[in-house]
Amino acid sequence: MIQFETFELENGLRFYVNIDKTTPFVAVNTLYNVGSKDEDPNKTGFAHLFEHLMFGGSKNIPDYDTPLQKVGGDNNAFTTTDITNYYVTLPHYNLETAFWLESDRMLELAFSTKSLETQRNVVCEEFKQRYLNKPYGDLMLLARPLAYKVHPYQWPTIGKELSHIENATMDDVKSFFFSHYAPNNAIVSISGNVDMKTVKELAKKWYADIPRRDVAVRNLPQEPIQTEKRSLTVERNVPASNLYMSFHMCGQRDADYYATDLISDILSNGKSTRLNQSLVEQQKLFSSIDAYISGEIEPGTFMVSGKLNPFVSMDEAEKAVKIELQKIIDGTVSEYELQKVKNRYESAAVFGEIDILSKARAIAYYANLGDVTLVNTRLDEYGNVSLKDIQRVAKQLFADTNCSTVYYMSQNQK
Amino acid sequence: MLQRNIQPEFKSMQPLNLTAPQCCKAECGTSIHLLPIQDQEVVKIDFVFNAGEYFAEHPIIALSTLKMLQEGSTSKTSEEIAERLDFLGAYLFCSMTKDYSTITLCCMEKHAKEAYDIVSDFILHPTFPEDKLAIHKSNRLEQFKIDSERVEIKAQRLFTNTLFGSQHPYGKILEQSDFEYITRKNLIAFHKQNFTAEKTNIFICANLQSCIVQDLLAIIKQIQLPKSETIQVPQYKIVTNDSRSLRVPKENAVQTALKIGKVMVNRNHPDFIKLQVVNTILGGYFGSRLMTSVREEKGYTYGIGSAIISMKESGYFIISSQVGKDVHEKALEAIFAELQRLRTELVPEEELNIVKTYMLSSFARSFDGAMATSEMLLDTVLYGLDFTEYYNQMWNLTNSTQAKEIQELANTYLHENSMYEIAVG
Repeated sequence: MIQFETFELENGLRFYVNIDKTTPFVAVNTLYNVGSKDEDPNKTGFAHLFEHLMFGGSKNIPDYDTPLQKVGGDNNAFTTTDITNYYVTLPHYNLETAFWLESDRMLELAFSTKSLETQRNVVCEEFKQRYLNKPYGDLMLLARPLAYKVHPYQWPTIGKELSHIENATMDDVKSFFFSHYAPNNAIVSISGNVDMKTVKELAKKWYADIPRRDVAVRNLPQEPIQTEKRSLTVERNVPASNLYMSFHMCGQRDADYYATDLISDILSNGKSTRLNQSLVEQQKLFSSIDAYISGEIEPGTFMVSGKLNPFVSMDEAEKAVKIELQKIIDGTVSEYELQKVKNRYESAAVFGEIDILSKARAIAYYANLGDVTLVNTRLDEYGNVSLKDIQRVAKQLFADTNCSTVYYMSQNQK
Repeated sequence: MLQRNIQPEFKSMQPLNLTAPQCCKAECGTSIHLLPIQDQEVVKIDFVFNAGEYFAEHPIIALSTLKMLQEGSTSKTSEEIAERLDFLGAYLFCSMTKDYSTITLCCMEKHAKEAYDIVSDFILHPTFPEDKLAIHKSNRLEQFKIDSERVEIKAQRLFTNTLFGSQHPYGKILEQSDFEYITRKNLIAFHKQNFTAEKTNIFICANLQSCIVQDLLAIIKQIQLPKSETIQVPQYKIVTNDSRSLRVPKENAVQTALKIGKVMVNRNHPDFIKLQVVNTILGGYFGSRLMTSVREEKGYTYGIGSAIISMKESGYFIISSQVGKDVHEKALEAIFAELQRLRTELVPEEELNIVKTYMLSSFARSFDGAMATSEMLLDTVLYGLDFTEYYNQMWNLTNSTQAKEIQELANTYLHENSMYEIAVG
């Protein structure tokens, strides 16, 4: 059970505070409600490029990292399709430096040309390192546009292509900042050795004078329901072929989200689960295979991805996977099996939220999702999923017409 | 009026009050280390065996032995083990370094006893069944082929091979032909020799006040690991390659993986702690000289870092990065310029203070909570060091390092002409 208190400033900035006196540290997490889904289709990769620029100095503080290092602080950030999240941990007695730094970059960035030039290059190298220069790295670049024709989830956070990042201008950067970075579009969550009085005072002191801004109204195009199965075949110089199936699933605010997540666990969370036992251990068709959900806020995707063993044909491998999916639709999941994945979910959730940073992140995440109490109640939501739910959701999910498949063929394994 | 351009007042890092975690002995003589968790009803148990690649006649056997333990015991099949552990919500992790191997069990306190029984059973009485071994071998081979395609991994293999030589377990590169040594007979022999009472340490993170945990401890103390036939550590000669530079082109690569470094002293050497300060200035944190020059000023890479890696019988210094293929030469120049600067110029006081604060704060983070502390404890246990003495010394030496000493150490250990460089891609 994570206890927390909350308050809101007049400019719309919300604070959540979890007090944990067992540690000498404190974590400060700042979530901005902007992700790659908010990008212009012709300027993709921007939310993430912007995350890099947030370290290039703000209006009154030329350098973000040095003052933080001076007080024993540590920080990082990440961008997803839905959010941009910044976090700091530091000794509790130096908490104010985090407020000072984070509030100034919420107020306004330095917008330095030099920083933009450098970070464009850095992000291009990140693009190469993660997606281009690594076996199977481009799978995500291929799979997303196959599954989405309209919705901005069709490009990954890194962007559609290098040129979008290379062509980013300072005007683009400024307009992105003022339409998305605002107190009324952010959440600050704090976990660690603090007291409410100090937090409230500091919040008021450093954040109260930041003006509320006109945040761009989010109007995401709806992805039409897929009506025929899609596929894409590519050939690459990799050791083993990879089967990659994506199925459209509900969004995270939908009641069926939990059942969908548990279906992925029934298939592949743990050594004893179906895909591993049947396809790896018994039929020996795959060297590894996994089922997982994208975990996105808007309707996302459910993936099944596996590496084929030598001499196994793609056709044979795909048929075998489909048989396993059909078995879920046919109602072969038992109460025992459902309980097993619920137990695994429980311990993963408890272990995942022991340290202050994970707690602060989780609170901010669920607050942004619209229901902060989920940070504690989602265990019950998973607990309440029934066998009927599993079967009903699987039937919709695993329809042939709901599937987009990338056949990633090894040149050596034909 | 709010002064936004002035940093609020702050305190310097306050020293830690370290106390050594409790330790007791199992009946068979194995050491059990206890780390208290507060408030959480979870248990983490690490079984750490002196059974890394270093101790195997054919290094490839060590990891296979570790991974195959859970594939069957004299009382349970692979399927039964997996099924029960999954049902209990227990997570099992296997990890291996050159020197030791670890099995980690994480689960809720309420299931810890049953999960422990299953795990200790297969550690003591594994059967290494042939059918499961065949699957393991084939899947490991597939993964090996994929890893071999990655420039980063290829460069790392060539790097340690250059430093230590093919005859040394720290330097040997695994080949596809080594897979023939993965046999049931070899695994049984390796298990018998190395998964013994004297060569094992058990680390437990749990709420020690809880009755469930106390019952669990009583059971763990009864573990009957066999006595070792020999506790002698084999010795190998380090043979560093004559050629200082190796370039391996890879068609279609868009980045080049760089590894630069040399053989270095390990944790048991008196200079090791202060060398960490030198290394941190160079490439050990986000604001380091390498990150500032190669990433933030020049934009050649997404990341660059350096480290001094301690292994039981030796160690190495390494600078590691992936850079754009077209800027590879320029990146090398920038890296060597920073090595030279360390040696020829005194570190400015302000920079040194930032580095010390960074190091002392990450040091403090390493003792924040039982799970973090257990990793710090592991380092001292494996190197035969006293926990409180060693870490108090680390704090004091880090805090007192002078700019002059840094320059001297850089001259002694990190001369740019003494480095080896590998470039793949």
